[in-house]
Amino acid sequence: MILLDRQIAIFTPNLLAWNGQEPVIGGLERYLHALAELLTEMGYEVSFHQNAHRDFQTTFRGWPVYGYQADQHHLHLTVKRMEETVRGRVLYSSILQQVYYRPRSICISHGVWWELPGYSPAHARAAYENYVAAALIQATLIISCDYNFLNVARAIYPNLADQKVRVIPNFVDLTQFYPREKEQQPRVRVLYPRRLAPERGFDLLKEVIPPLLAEYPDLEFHFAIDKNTPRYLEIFHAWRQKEAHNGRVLYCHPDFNAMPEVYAAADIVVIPSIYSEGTSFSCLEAMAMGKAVIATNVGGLTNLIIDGYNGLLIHPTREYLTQALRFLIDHPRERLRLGANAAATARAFDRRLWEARWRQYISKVYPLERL
Amino acid sequence: MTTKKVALLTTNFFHPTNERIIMGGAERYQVDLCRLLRELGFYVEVWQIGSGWTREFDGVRIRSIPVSRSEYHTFPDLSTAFYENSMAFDYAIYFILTLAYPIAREKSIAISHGIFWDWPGFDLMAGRLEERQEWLRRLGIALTGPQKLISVDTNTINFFNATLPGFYHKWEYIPNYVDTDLFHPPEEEKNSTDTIRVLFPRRLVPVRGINETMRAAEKLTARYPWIEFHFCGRGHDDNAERLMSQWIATQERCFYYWKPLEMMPEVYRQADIVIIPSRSTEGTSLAALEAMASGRPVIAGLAGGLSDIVLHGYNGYLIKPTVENLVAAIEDLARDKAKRQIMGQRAREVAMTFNRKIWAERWARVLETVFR
Repeated sequence: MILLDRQIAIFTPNLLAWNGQEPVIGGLERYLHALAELLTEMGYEVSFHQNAHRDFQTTFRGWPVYGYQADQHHLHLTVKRMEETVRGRVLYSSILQQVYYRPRSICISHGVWWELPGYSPAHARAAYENYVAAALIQATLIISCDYNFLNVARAIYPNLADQKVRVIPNFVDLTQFYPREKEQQPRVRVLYPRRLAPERGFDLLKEVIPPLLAEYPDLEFHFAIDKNTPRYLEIFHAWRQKEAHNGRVLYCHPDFNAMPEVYAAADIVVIPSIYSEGTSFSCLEAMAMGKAVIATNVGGLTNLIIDGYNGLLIHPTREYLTQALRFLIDHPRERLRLGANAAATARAFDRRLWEARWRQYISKVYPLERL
Repeated sequence: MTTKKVALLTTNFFHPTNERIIMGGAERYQVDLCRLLRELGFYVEVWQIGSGWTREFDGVRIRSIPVSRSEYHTFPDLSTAFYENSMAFDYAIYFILTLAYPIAREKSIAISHGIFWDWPGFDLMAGRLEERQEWLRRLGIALTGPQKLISVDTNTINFFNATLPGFYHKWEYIPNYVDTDLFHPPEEEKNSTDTIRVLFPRRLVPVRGINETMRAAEKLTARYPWIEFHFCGRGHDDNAERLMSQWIATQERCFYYWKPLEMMPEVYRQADIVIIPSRSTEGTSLAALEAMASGRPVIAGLAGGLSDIVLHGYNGYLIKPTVENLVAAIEDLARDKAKRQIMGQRAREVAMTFNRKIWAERWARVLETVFR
């Protein structure tokens, strides 16, 4: 029996901010924490390699993190340097910025990301021909977090996608996220638990809020948002200040451990993504908390929400969003029914199931021993 | 107020030269859509390829246009002739998306029944790269004419937004439907000591996973004396059906037959597990929805719209339909009665949200915005 290398290098855009200090808050990062925990438990030695303002070396939760100086407009050069510096086994955290995939490697897809409104067919083609095709050809396996990526990729590259793509939907930690008794409150609270990035649909949501607040005096909106991008936060505050009923537009910047309480205080959770969406953690967590979810029919959200069964699945337009919010505000019993079904379906996305599926592929592609 | 007239364009509802008609999913959809339009007060006619004959089906006149040229999976002569000759009609429905190429009536709606180019064999059909590009180009033009594009699954919408974007707000998701009064669980589930019946309720074609299923049946019937397989569906031709019968004759506890539509609810009710192991070319499958409405757990392939209706591990399984995966998934459910029961019950609950009445409401809403 030959023991093989235990080291796995994970290439990722930003586990930490580019200064190498504070951890970045986002779905990709959460995914990587869980994956690194699993790999460590399986006996691997994990290191992270990421973009940086200038080269750094630090540790995060005991894992070494290496920063490589990067220029926002020439990220491929940084990836190239990582490729040249790191020996041994590599796991690629996303398709987005990678150019090279070495043999016997896994690459993770977090969903189709290039379908933004306003793109032309030429833009779209460049995205899948430059990025998706390379990953499909070079990597051993692509683990996709949703069925939508697999099916879109297969409709473009039937052979390759069918051979290379496997689906492991995202997970929810049921020990943290479960339905809780809600305190009686006079107001109906709608929660937006997402980053302020354009793809997450903040612009769409803010358009529908003023008329609803005017119409329903007992309605309030709660934004649980990040501080990753100062510019987005400025836009948020500028908008909020001008809003006539801003006493009922609340916000907070919770860290991850505070999220169960944030969800618990809500009646309705909106996930109004307009593009670049997988099996969203926020959506799964809201479901596990037994909340009535309104999600758009974008990307992997369609693999979580069945319209009218465990939430409402809408086309991302103002009309549909307004109509869905009105419906749930007016029908408290429907909120409870959808929420109960959401909590039941969330159990099929238990973190332990996710780990069991990942284990199989890790052992296959990165075996620890060879007989 | 005068009655408004709708013309629905399709390729082959009837066979162009004889009266043969196989009521597959698309044909049933068309009949139901025509009924709905009439209920809403429209006069409806169907137009298709043929020698110029006129027939009637279910109270709807079906006219044929004597053209047959097909290139790059489009029918430019048919579409053009339809455009020129249907001026007396107020509105049009393109029952197949590509029929809206090269020209479409102003007040019209086109329907996509799911992606059919996601299987390796399509590469052969689509031909050389330039031909595939030309086909895609025509598909892009087909999207421009109609005012609304209806998709039976979310996967198709996401595919088009990721390849031929620009029609973001034309798309509407109207999933397929099931008559939940007709398809319902049995009054009483049968005794647990009975054999376990696995049902394959599809046509005998490779993309539906027939070959993998036959192999899985061989393995599982050899392993368990209490398991049986029922194949219920037509082949594309007599030969496929004959080959199936020959194979069945060599197998223990494997059965092959087909039943008229009105018998299908009972066929589902008698099954314990229903498999829809499509490799590709799938929308929100009527067979899957009917099985679910009948309270059966479904083992489905992870293709097209099946992930819109099956949640893996909740109301069934979504698997890559290899022989190995099929055997494992069937074994898992066959040996666990409690799991079959809970998944079957949830399947019924989920199917209720794909009730035909909800489908009709969704369609009525779209018709209201375009046909006015």
